[in-house]
Amino acid sequence: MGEHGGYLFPNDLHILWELMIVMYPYVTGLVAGAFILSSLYHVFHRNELRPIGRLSLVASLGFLLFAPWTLLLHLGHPLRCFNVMLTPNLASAMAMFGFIYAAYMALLVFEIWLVHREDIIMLASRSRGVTRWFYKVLALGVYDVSEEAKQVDHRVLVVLAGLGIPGASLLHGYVGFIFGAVKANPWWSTPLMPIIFLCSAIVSGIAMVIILYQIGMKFSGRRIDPPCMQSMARWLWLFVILSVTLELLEIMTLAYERAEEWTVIGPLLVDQLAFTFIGIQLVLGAMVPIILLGIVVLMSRYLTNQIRNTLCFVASLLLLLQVFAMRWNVVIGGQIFSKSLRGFRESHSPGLFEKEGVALAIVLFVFPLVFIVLFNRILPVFEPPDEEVPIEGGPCPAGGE
Amino acid sequence: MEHAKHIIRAVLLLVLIAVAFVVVRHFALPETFGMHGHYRFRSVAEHVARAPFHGAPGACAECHDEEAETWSGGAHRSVSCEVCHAPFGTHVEADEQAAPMRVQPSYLLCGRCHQRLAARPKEFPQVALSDHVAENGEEMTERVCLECHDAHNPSE
Amino acid sequence: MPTTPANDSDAAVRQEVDSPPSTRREFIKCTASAVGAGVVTLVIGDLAAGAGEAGLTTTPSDVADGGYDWTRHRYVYLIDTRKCIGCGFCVRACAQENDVPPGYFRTWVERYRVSRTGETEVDSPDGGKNGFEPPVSGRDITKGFFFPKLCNQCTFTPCVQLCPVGASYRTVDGVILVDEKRCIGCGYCVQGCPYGTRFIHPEKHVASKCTLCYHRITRGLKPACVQACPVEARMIGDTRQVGDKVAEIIATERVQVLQPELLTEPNCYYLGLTREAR
Repeated sequence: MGEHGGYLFPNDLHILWELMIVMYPYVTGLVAGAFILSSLYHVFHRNELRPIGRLSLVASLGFLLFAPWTLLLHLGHPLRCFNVMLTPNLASAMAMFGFIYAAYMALLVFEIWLVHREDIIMLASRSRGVTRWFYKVLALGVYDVSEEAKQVDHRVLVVLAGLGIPGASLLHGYVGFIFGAVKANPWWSTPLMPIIFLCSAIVSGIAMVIILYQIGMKFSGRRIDPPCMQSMARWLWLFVILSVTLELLEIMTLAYERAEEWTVIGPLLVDQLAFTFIGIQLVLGAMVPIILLGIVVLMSRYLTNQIRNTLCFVASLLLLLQVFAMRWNVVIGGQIFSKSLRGFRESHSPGLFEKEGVALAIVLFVFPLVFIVLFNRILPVFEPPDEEVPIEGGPCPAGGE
Repeated sequence: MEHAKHIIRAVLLLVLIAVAFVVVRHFALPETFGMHGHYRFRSVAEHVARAPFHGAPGACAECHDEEAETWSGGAHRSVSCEVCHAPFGTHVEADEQAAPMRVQPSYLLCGRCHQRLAARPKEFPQVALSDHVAENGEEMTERVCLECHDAHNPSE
Repeated sequence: MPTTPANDSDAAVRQEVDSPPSTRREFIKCTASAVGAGVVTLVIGDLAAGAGEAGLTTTPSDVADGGYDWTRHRYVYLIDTRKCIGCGFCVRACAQENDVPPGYFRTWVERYRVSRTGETEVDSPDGGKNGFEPPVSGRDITKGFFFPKLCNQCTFTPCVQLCPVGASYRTVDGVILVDEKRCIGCGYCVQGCPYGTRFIHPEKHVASKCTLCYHRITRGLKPACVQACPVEARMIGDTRQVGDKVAEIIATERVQVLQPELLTEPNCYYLGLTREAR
């Protein structure tokens, strides 16, 4: 019972869902966002996105691999986690996690395998010994790279990537549903929740790929493809605007209707969540990037490549922060007020070295990045460059449409 | 189909994993799960099997018939013995006395019901404890209430 | 990168695998159909077990000792807030009977103090376990009352709906229980309960809640809180028993439930519920 006071139900004194439950939608959001970005190339043939076609898929897989760990760290009985697949309660939103996760994992691995199949076969033929066996197993013992086989690959790939769009939407929309379907909590319970989650997921996914792509190019000493960067900036801009609009719409509706729950949510937003909501989610994380990306999108012809890249990089970093703040405000914000609707807890700050502490959260965020680096040592993450035309510092040729 | 062999293999691999899952799930399902609904039925029996800690009504009177007699005629007859004393389970195990009964003969205990509070129903007998003690010329000691009232039959 | 590797070693790799004997294909077909049939049998078996055909007559007494038949009971709980004196003995009895960890509550008592201008103060120090002290501030209280709370044993309860693993369930006699051996401790049910009656047990790391003292009511005893109440503010009834006093009150008097707009259909009824209580 804090200074903020009021009356809290006696069992409501504890914040139950902590940092790891903030991490979980954040990480799955990166999964879904990166995948949907890759689909723009694989399904909708936005060919300017070819340079990040593979990277976004592999990033998606990396984050997918570590998403369950956030949940395992949170569970009271992590060893019983397979109960979710053993006796799933079909009425529970959360029970679907195991199946949606497994199906999506299968789909993603399948797609990445198809994208890299030629490389696998080539590497199998080039290497010796154990490595050779490794690539042979990866190729499933089929070494057909004829034109017909490639056409089959392409057809299957389009179908998989096509299935992957509803798959990714389901994976993340359902995370939003987990919160949106809790009618006991007025800050969570809204049908808009899955859509808001999905939009901000796409934002975080694109932002993450922009950052990974720029860093990757820097380290491999290759050129950042201006049309690709310009295109990602455009998509990112669109989805930030959508996402922030939805986030604001939900709150404005509550406020305008003077809904019952506004008596707690209003004070919550301007008091306990003032910094993370107004400061980060709205101003620093949304308004600033919208302006920066606006410059990139609207004034493209006046920008040098370097300025464009820097603007995109900074905007992406801020957006990663914004989406994290949004998850935080939903998950923690929903537990700051008591279900009595009469009182607030002290605002919550996680410990450093506990089970749901900051240190482990950072580790879980870094592991996927390590995974991408390791993956790159086995199979190429970046598309082979077609023919390099070194135009440094000039205006972007295809940028302004 | 000639050139789709790798696709077929990959799909077969996925099917194999799915089959393995179904088989493992079958053998890992807990006993009595799903007999009455989506839960482990034996869990109900586990709840039932817990031993009560508070006694059945009349359990105290089996040994303490005198006190029970006084109590049953007074205004405190609606107050279960264990409220002022302690749960049956702290005192009796397997029909034998396991430990002495704890009592709290203090005005604090009486005050829990009879201290005047604005939220208490008006008709319920209640006093402002310190005023009531002073009015009757008593000192505020631990057992002050018992100077005038018999806890088993307070109106006497 | 070259896309069509056509060196010698690659050709060798291809030859190794590209000549399946026709017998192998036959073998795969046979195995596949056998495995398929087996899997179908398993799935149907599991589904049939889930349908519970065998279970309709089984009762908890078939599993445990004693002659309890849960099809002949349906429990309801009634709280007369006009009688409650806020002694908090129910909270203490519950904690002792059920070994409830300190700082967590399966039941608790709230105190409401409403001034003439409608300002409402609510408190529940340590859940009311040690009773209530007179308030320090001398505000003009025009309406005051105590308000006991516990699990509402809802008919359409969100907690059972949300539990991902089937560890929370509703018994045939209308009590919501937790299977502590299957609960994974995710806390979704705690978030989903509109009444705040659930918590994650700090040592067992599983969801915990009021069981209506299921081990007592199945033996014909009253729940510890009901037995401890000195003024009969808490009552338990059984709508499947003819002439049940509590069932009669619920059937004939103006009773109310908490947060009826959520349509959880609680089986815990209140007499004297007023708009301040939630």
